[in-house]
Amino acid sequence: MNWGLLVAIWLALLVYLIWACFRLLSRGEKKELLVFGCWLFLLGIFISINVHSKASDLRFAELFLQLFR
Amino acid sequence: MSNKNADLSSHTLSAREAVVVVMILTFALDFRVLPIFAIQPAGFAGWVSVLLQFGYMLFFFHIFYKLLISFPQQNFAQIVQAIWGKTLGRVIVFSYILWLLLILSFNINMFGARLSHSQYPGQNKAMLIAIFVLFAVIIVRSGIVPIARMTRFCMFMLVTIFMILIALWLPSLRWENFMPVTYLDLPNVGLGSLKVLYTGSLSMLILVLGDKIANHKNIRRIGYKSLTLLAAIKVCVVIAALGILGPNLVPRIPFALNTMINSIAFSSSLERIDSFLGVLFSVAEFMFITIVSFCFLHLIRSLFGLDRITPFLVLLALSLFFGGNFIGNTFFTLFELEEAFILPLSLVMGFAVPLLLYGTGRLRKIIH
Repeated sequence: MNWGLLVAIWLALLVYLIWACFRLLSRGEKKELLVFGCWLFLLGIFISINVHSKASDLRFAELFLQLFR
Repeated sequence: MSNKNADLSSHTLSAREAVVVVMILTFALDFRVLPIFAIQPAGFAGWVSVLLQFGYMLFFFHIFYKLLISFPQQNFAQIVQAIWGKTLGRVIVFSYILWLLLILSFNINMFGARLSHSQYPGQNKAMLIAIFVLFAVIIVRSGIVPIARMTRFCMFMLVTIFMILIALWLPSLRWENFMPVTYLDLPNVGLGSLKVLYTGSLSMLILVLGDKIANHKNIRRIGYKSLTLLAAIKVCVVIAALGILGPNLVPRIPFALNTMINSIAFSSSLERIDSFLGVLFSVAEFMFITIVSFCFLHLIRSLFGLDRITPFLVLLALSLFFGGNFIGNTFFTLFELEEAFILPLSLVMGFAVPLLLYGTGRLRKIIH
């Protein structure tokens, strides 16, 4: 597991979220911010899983096919 | 123009534009899988599978039309929630969002794979995907109307080129490769037709664009005409694949259509036609990604009742880039994933759910 890369990814996503907070809240778009935050969080999880699985050269397709074979 | 209207352009599509937008989705998938999916199960009789699929498509297009005409100026999320209630409706719409994300990631990866396999050998696939996603998001930002107009032009070019291609393939056909067809082929033809039907599953996106279409009444007439033209081209392409490569070779070639086009370049005086066609196919695949991305964002907007969708364009680009790169490593796992999971899922989402929706609507007397 490459912890350095994971921390860097989550930090980048956090900075992006803070920037989006300022931008969206200045227009009063709270619902958009909520959807934005959830989407960003799910994207972070997806990237983290794949960064982890890349170490064993697995991707979504391989993981999925292994689960259901 | 108000802020809400300015977001991703709220101008409406004509019935013809809406049908063409949906047809190019089928066409773009056909480039990649049609010869394999039609010929792998049915062999000699692969072309009959396409005819059977045409029958299914006419039926399902009628269902889509009935849903659209019963809920004028409403999109898919509103239709589902009107028939199945708010809670179940939201769950269904959310599952459609996930399905579209899977379709997008898969096709972006296949697009990158096709380019790095045939047109730009040795190039970094991630870089090709990044460029592709960047341009797709820029186009999505302009709204569905410019996309639809681009699609109309692109579709005209594609249909013309395919007619020329079919004429060029004719001298190379070996007629014994797709005859005789007997009643013993029927089970395999049935299986083949279901596999080919998968390419039409994204036609249901016409329901997602329901509130963007100005005149629903002409959709059925124009849709039937377009489906007939498309089916004629598809039958000719499968006959050409059988006639040139044969039923044993086609399932073993990842991009059979590319090989068939190269065969023209090698066997006649026309040289390098494959480069020109490669560009045209890439444009069709690009339109595919753009349209599905727009529908993906439109579904999110309808589900969560958002005013604007432009703040999500960067997130969309990131999701497509990482989804496209991380979904799979090799052709073989991707093809396996497509056959084992994406194909049945698409049949359910593209046809079974709208059919159930229509059935429930009829039972509840919401649809007449």
